[in-house]
Amino acid sequence: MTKILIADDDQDIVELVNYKLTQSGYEVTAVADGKAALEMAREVHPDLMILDVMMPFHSGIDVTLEARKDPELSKVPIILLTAKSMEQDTERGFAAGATDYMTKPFSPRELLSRVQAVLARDV
Amino acid sequence: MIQATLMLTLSEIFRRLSWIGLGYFLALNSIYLILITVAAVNLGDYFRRKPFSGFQDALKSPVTLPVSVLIPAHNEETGIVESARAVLSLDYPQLELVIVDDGSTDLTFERLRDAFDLVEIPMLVPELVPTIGHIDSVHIARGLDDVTVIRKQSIGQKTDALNAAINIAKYPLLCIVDADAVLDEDALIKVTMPFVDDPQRVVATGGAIRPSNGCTAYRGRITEVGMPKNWLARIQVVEYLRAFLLGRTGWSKLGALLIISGAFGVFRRDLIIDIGGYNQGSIGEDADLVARLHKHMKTNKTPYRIVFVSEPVCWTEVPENITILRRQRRRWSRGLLETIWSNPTLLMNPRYGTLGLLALPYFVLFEILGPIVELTGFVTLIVALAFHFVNFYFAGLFFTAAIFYGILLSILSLFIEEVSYHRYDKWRFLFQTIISALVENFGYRQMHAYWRLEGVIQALRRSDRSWGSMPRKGFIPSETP
Amino acid sequence: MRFALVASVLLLSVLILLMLIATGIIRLVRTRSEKRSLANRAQLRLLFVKFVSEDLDPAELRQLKTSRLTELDELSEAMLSKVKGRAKDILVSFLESRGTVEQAIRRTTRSGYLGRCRAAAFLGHVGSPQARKPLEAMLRDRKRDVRTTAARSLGQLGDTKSVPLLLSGLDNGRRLLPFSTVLVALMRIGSSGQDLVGDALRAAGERQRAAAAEFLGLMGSIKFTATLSDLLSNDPSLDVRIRCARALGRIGSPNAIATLTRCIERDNPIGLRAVSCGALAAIGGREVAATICQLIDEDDYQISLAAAKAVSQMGPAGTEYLNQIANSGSPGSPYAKEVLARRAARMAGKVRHPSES
Repeated sequence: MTKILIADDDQDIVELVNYKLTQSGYEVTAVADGKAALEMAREVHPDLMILDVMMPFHSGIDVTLEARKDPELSKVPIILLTAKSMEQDTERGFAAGATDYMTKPFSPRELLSRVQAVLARDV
Repeated sequence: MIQATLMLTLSEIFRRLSWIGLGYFLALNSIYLILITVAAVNLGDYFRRKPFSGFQDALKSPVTLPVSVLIPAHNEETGIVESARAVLSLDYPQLELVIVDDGSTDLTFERLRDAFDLVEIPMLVPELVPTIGHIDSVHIARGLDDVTVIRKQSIGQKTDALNAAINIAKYPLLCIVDADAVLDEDALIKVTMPFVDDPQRVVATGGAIRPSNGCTAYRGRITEVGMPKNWLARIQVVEYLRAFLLGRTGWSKLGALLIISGAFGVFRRDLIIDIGGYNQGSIGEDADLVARLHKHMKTNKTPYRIVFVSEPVCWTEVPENITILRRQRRRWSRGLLETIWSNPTLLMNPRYGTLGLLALPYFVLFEILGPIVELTGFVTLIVALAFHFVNFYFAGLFFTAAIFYGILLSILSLFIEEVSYHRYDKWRFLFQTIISALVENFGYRQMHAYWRLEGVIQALRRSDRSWGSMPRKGFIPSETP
Repeated sequence: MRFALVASVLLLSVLILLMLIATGIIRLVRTRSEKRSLANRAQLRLLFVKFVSEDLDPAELRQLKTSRLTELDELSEAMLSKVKGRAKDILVSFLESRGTVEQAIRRTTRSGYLGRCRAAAFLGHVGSPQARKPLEAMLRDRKRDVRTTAARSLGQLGDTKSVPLLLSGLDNGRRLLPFSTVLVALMRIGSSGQDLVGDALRAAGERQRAAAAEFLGLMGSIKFTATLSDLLSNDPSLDVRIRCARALGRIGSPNAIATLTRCIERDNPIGLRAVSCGALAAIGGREVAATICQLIDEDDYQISLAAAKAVSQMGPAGTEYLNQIANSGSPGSPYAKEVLARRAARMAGKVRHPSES
């Protein structure tokens, strides 16, 4: 089963995404901060990560950078989900090695399509 | 016979002195009570309005002014890279970071060079505000991080490092941060919000500082607020709440904020350049800067506001041992006196409104003369008791009243913190702060008065010498918190 | 005297005690209520998530207790600003069916200003068209926070009809709207409002003209090039002129070149000249590069630097020019060198992608 890791400190969003993705047949692990995200990623080796940018300990950008340095995680696609919508934020996200970038407020259905697209591309 | 008369006169003198003492205590604490009340009203207002302040919008607005964050550093190899990274990841639309390596003899520069992949660039640094130490080289980071590092010769003055940074900063707002200050992610946007709301009038803002001792930090951010283990630091927690959080909120509301902490403040760059930057060699350089800013705005007859932002977003380590704390307080007191000294036109000048007529007289009467009165009162009381000039019962009551008034103010501050920010959220912390508020009055308060008196004496002694000729090793972190 | 002292000591101790008790009670109440609301929310969340994902029969919701439904209202309200698309439509129709929208509209004229703020913010998140009129009325509210919140919400509603009112709010005498709020609201409404914003370029109020120029530049509204150029040369306000110059650079129409070139001449204020340099560079062209290059040798460092920076953004031709100046030893060569070095450093970072290192 395809494993997805989601990290966001907003419990409402985590639950919503979690439900949507689980319903669509993915195996979802959820954490609430950047440190837990990295630890969990190293443990479960997800096929995709959805990261919030502003969260405690490590930001989503930091996690992306760390993941890219880690040989086991360097190829895992990452979708950044963030309230930051300015040009330089997107630029920074992609420069860190993110696969896709989505701004909040977000549409759960759109997120699902993006997840499917990213995973399809990856295979 | 003569002896009897002498005793009588002496006892009369002591009686008078104790009346003065009583008046002083009453006046000081009552002024504080008024300040705290003003602050409480203001804080309540700020709190209720917070959900509608629109700072999320400001984060997305193309007209939110970009900020140059300036960090002076002298031998900061242990924390500088972490601090720099923490600044760069602040939640703010556009910022640059300027670090001044002021003649460090440790690996401050090397650490920065490796972390940010620095490369030297040729640059003519304009002399917009005067600097003394020679600038050796300017380096910038490779890649997307907007980091500039200036290496300069040190003259042992933080002011010189800051002025060099001001010359090189490119954005319209300057944020001055201590190298060891720990900022919250939203610190910068919170403190620049007044500029967004009222761009015509706001010229400077200061952030609230709290002790970071006892807090858990990770990668340059506070992740869990805690209470220091050390009692001296715990007392300072309460002191910071009362004097800095509420005191300054009160002054700011009255339009008479004199001190913006050097640990975290934001200024309009054009005005800082107009007033010639920091006063070289000044001891209380942050108060001095604000005093001259007030003067400049009043002289040009421009309506302006200097705003204190009470939201606790900046954390800094406070001294846990008496020697260092004593040195710090001595310098604060001396800096304050020298600031008032070098800007004599402000005092009691109706043109400066509440600042000239209220805040500065308050500082002179209570912050500078205060320690003298307080210590004289204390000594007199002991002498008077020893010689039975005053009734033991009366003296005891008087002393108790004075101390209880002080305790009430501290407890009131704790209460206001509880209904507003309630950062010390464990029950244990609440008890610890309450006990600190009580203990503070026995010993700490008297020591503090003595240290401040020392500062005043130092200022008076040195006033005839030039202030610039005082080389120091390293900076003492901000003169005022 | 003694009595007064005793009385004050007693009074003080009573006050201290009262404060202590009050602090304790507040903490107790707060901890309790926080715990309860957290637990409630956690319980409701699954239900709620199912509901938003259309996996829940709305009939099930109707069976809930009233207190539960109120909590659901709160949760929906909190979620409004976090989602969009279908999920948001579901939330909005749920809230509408609960009558919260009408209730909020009624509250826009309430006496407590925080209540008005809350209502305005809510209506903005919901975004229902019927909220436009009441929100517009709030733009002239006594309280600044209410005006600002209403302006923000009108931006979220996105109806172009609000544009003139938002702009005139910038010059509303004592009941002003903050510049930044209006601009963000206009940007939310988007380019469909540009004609109405364009009209404000002729407004009497300076702040309106400034906001209009800023907005049109950000939207890249090419059809206002002529009007903006006209303002750039003739507006009495320097601030408006500078914003026009920046806007023309963002729009990028070559028709603005002549006016902008006049603005970089010596007799203009430095701020305007520096911005005009950048704007010209953004429009581009070889002749433009040559004109700007001459400025690098000027004696004011701000102009030299702005010009050098501008030229560096003009592609290979600009780089070529800059290299020439850097090697010429002219007064401007240090600035050319600095800008070249800065660009090289920035590019170096871009090439080295983290995944490759």
